[in-house]
Amino acid sequence: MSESFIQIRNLTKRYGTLAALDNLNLDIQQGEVFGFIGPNGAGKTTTMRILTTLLRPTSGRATIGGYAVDENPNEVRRLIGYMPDFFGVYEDMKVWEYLDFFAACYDVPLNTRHGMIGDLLDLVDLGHKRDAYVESLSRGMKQRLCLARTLAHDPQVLILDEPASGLDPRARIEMRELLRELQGMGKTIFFSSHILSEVADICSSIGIMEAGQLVAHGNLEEMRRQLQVHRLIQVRVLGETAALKDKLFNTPLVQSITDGTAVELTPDIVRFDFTGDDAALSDLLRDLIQGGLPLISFSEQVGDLEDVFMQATKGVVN
Amino acid sequence: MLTFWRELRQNPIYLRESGQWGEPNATFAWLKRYSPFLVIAVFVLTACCGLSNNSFFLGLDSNLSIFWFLVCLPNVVMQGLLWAAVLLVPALTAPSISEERKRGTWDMLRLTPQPMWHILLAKLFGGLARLKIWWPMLAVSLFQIGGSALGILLAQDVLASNLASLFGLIAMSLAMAARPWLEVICIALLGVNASAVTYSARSGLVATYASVLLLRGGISLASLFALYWATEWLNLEADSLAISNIAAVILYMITAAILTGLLRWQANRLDALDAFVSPE
Repeated sequence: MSESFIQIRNLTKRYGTLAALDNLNLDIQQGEVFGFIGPNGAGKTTTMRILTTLLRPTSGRATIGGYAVDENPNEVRRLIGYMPDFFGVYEDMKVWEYLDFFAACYDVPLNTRHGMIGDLLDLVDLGHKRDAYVESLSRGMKQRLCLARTLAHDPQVLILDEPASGLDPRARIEMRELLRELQGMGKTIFFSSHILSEVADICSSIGIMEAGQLVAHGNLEEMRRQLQVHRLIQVRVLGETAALKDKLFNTPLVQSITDGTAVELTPDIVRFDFTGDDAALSDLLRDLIQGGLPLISFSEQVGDLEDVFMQATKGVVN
Repeated sequence: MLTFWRELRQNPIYLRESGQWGEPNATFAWLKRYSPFLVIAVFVLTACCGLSNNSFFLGLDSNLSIFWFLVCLPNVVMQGLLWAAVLLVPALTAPSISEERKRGTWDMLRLTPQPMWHILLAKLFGGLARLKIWWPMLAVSLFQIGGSALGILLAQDVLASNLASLFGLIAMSLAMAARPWLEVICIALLGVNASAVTYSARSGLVATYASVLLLRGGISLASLFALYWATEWLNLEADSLAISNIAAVILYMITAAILTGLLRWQANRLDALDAFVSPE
């Protein structure tokens, strides 16, 4: 496996006795969209500020594109585009001036800036606001403009702290589409969000933080597997469920048998937790069929990111 | 030096501070709205301080009209320009960083590849570039130097036999011409230094105006002490204007050097990875 584009090793950040980050280890490959989720105070912003060279870690190491963030900040800054959760804009500038200014700060030559600004404004769908003052833009537009600003020097990595926070549903959908487009352009995207469905929707991998620690990491499927101490199985039978429940009570790997009516489902459904592996589950299904139970369906209920998040976190706040 | 100046004038942060990319300084924009009051304030301050000695009214004596025209008038004009700078330079420099920080744009600026030292210099000189007093100041300075040169030429017979007086006169002329420039530089350096440690334009302004008051008062007192020291202890028979101006210029040069060093230190401090951050 090639070396990760973003590599975090034993990263720790302490403020006095408070450990905002505690031995964080993380690998993100080039072109990946990594979603960083966790409750407030979990250490997401601290991690991002360290990666963007704005904060020095207490110990540990973080590299982007092979450059250590605390040793080669200038090289790292050229590789990244950062959008903080609380971002300011120059309200006194016109939209194109704002992008022109930052492009100039990143040493983008004057002769390429004009075309680049047009492309960026088209990308974030602000072409029609080119000559408008930044102060006249809505919050969603400002957010998109800020994203365009992070792209002004064509960075390889985008670090976005809550890019969709405070946006209305339409603006959120637009932001999600924009992130997809950027993913298509080959950018590595590292972003945090409180909106779990959004993360699940566009991320190729996810990290869940709690109290400064990474409690789960991987793609959604891997995380389900990591976190699954038991699986939720749903069985539907023809007619009465009493025989099925009797059989399940006598099966050692089965726990918490629930009637369908108890979980707002139909009375012919039974749900239970199963602590065995796939082979044990297969054996159970065979036993039920061989026992002559009139099964209509036998399925494993797949939890969404919210379930995974709830299982991974305990509500601990630093 | 020329290369540095050329690069600085192309620096985007300099261009923004000098008003070529929007209006970067809300405090200055606010002050500009009240410019008639500023002009009145400059006149009043100049009248109170610049005309306080009797020399300005010497022009009423027809025998001294050349002296009045060459020395007194440019001095009063320079005083007026200096008061304009004292009032406006803090407004141009003190909010430069604190306002960015308050607005949430400072981190974005920090993340650009612009070296922090260049950012601070661009803020300093970009702010100063908005002050429209440089050409009048230069004209008055050149007029003062020219007047002194004319005086030396006219009195060359007397001065040739007294080299101490000649050098004293040259030093005094240069000191009088250099002093206002050094004062403005010191005020601007105070403004950017104050801005680097404050979180709002208002606190930056208060810190700068208070520092300017202390600096100008301190240096005036110190130059009076230098005059006393030179005349009473060293028994120098020199003009009081010469000694106090030369002493003030030396002190302003030392102050400017210290403040530049402090700004350099601020650049390193702001560039450090832990500058002005708080836990999530």
